[in-house]
Amino acid sequence: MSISRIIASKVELRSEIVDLMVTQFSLQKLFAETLYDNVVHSNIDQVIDDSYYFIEAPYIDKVYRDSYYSYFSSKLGNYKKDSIRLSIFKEEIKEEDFRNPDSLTDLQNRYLGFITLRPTTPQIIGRSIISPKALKVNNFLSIAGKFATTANSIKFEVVGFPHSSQDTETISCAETTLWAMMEYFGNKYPEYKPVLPSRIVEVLRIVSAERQIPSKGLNIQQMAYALKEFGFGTRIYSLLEFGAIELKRLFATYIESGVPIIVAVDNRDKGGDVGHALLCIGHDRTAAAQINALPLSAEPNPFIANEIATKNISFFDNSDLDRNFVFVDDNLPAYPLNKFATPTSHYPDASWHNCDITYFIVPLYPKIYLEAYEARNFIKQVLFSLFTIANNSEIFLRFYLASSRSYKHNIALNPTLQDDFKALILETEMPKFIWVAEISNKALIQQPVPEATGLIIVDATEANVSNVKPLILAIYNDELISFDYSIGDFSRKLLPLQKFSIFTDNLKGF
Amino acid sequence: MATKINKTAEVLDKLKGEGKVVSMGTVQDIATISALTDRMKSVRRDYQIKERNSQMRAAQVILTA
Repeated sequence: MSISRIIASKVELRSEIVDLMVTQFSLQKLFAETLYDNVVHSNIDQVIDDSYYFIEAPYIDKVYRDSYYSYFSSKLGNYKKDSIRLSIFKEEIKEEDFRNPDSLTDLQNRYLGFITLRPTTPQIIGRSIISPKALKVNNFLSIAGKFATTANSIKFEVVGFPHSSQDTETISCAETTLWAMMEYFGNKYPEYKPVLPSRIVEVLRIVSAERQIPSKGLNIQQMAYALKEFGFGTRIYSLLEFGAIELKRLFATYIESGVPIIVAVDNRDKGGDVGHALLCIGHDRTAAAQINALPLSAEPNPFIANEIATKNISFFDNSDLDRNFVFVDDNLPAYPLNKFATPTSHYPDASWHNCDITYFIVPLYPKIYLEAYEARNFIKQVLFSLFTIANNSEIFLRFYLASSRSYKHNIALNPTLQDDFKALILETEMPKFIWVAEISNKALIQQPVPEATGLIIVDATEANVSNVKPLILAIYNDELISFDYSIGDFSRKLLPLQKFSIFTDNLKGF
Repeated sequence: MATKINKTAEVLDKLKGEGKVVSMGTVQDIATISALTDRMKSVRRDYQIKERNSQMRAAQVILTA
């Protein structure tokens, strides 16, 4: 059977897709039209209006084929095994562009990703990767990977985050988030491998008492277990244990660190029936108004709270910013934005609106032994214990995890950092991952290029926090604290530090 | 001819020569670090309980929607 190839503008797309659903998925036309309007339309509507689509059918999608062979093909019903793929381009494309080597660079620059449609009605949105550049609204920073794909037999690359709807039988929300997480990590880092739905079932077999297919969802512990089996040092944080303020700070810290997290939203304690998993992968761009509106940080540690009160310090925490986060939700089009306190308020069904984030799961690199809660506390203890902070000072703390490779690369090319301190950082031995706190104030952090005046770097592989063992270096108020190998102990150095631009490479802008 | 680069040593030697480096082996610094360690022990106990309880409760929360 030959492959149908269609070029369509955004306004022509509906009739072409409906016709293909009729022929490829054997659907009645009216049902296909309803599916398009109720399911596909919202995914296309958010894409820029001058987009063009290269449609290919039949298309063999690896994720749906895995579900088909492991489950759908064993049913009596005649489930089709092929999908439809829509490749998205900015502005008009022509067939001859794909066969002209001189046009390929331009085509690649205009390639914005793809959406697949699978015959699992009504949840037909399959494996998709859409570049945020394709969206009408993309004023956000997010985690994104680079994915190799093809359209009309030509290789392309797209930068984005994997997305799919759940088919509710082989993949519920829980399995879909695990798939998307591994699709991202497996394509980006050699330590991990992408997984297909049947592999998730296989890994969880040992911790499942009942049959796993058709899927009845997963509990959070099962999801964390699967991530552990896939190679992560998984951590679970719950609302009940950490409280709303601290949970949001930890959540925001991991997002600022460029670590995608699995989020559990729930309203069952409020009389609802929703228990749902989604991913968070970024946040909106920080506006001056958000910084100006940031309240003083409510400090839970008695020692630090006392220091702040006694010296009348205005202490602000970047993770307290009232902001939108970027989610990947298998019930919604890609990249919905919403607040931490109201993660599902954009759902069409109002019965979802009162969900809270009750848990989140973090897939940490296995050798990050010092997680965010202890690292945050350690850094604040270092700042308030080892440095003399003047009365009436203002401190804006921005705290995140970074790979030392990315961090040193950024520092090496940072023109605002003075040479002596730059050399000290670059020549300091560091582990693969470091916790970093940038110390600034509200005025400096809202500059067009945000700036800081102090820095604390901590070893993320050092779980023993005795005797400031995790501390790599700290500089604040012209005083540098670092290990001095000539005396075998930490020492204080008087080193005036000019303000410098902050590190922003963990999240990507579009 | 090979060039050895160690700007850290140059910076530290200069600071030491100017009397701008002070060891943190003083009684006061040791007491400060010891108090910091004690506070972090408390943070760790707090975290371990929260982390363990989070994990145990997580087994009861089914995500299906």
